[in-house]
Amino acid sequence: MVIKKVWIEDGCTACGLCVDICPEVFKLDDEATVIEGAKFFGNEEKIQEAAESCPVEIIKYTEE
Amino acid sequence: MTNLKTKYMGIELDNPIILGASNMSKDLDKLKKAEELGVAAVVYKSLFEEQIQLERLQMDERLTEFNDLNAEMLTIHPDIKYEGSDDHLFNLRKTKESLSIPVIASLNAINYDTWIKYAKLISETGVDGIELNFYHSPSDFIKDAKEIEDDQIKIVKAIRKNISIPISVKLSPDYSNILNFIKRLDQNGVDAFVLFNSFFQPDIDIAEEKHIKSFNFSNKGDYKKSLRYSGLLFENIKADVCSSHGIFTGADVIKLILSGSSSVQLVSTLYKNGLEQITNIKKELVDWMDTKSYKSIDEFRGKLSKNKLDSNSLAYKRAQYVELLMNSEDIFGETR
Repeated sequence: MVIKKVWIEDGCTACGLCVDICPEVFKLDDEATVIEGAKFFGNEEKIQEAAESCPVEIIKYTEE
Repeated sequence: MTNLKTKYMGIELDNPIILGASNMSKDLDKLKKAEELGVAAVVYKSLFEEQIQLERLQMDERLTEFNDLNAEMLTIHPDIKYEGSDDHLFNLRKTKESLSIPVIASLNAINYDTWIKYAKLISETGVDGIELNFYHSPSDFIKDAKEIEDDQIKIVKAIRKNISIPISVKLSPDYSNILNFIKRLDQNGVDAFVLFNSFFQPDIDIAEEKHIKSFNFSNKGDYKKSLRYSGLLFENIKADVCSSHGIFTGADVIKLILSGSSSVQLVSTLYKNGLEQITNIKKELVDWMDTKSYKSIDEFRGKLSKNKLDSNSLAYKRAQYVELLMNSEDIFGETR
């Protein structure tokens, strides 16, 4: 799996779970965001896990 | 003025809402926010046997890291990141010092020696109580139920002997007769029971034909097993009962108190709805109590427990299930 793009839709509850799972790609301020310039390569499984685990299911990604 | 005071592990709480052990409960900023929003106590994220073993492994790495030092090494630093029990105990102490509400530690060990040693170390951090998380998931065909239960009783007895802070036990519902096991634990000095813990369950991606993992959230309605057992335990044991698993709304909390629980632990609803859900749940509880003219939790706690119901009531009996099956057409309508 090669991940091309990761984004977070509206509705974040700021639980921080995605950051716990994949701090290389996600960060938490008032809401979770994708770190600018974050490398998706090598973090594919963690990104997938973060998306599967998001309690409000707003983490999205596209694969090549 | 509505009085929401209750007790958990013999500790007086301002209200029945406890933030349960989770990744969220290791973050001091989140815990402070939860306190501001009115949570009555927090259970700090569990210390796991695996963390402790990892620390031992790291120590071995450190002791031997220079044994093979040579000029071609890329780095002289060990490559395992440090996050063991010392950090956990330090953060636990810091959390206790930073909050004014009760802080309860959680221990999830495997080996007898680890249980005893770390229960003692945790009790020395100044926390108000300790939750023993009996996360036993059968994976062999040899050990029988009695052996598993006897081992756990032995652990509780030894911990009780070694520490003076209150002890709660968080259990799985998967015992042959959980009422008997709880009674035995109750007789051995457990101050509260948390019903029930959520096990990680594996799942499978059928496209990739591999196992996948994701955080296990509970779902709405999952509280019903806890409701049943708190209803059966009320006034039959000395310890307090705290419900956990699938509690999402104020209505859920009210139902569990009516069945006999003195408090509840929330996790999934806070992940899904944010920490503000603490305030919403408390408001829903207060509004309902006002509507029903209840001034305190004790006025209605256990009102719908087995002991308080008419002996002919089927609520906690197998007959309720049988009646449902026999009269399903009356209840659900005729099926086509």
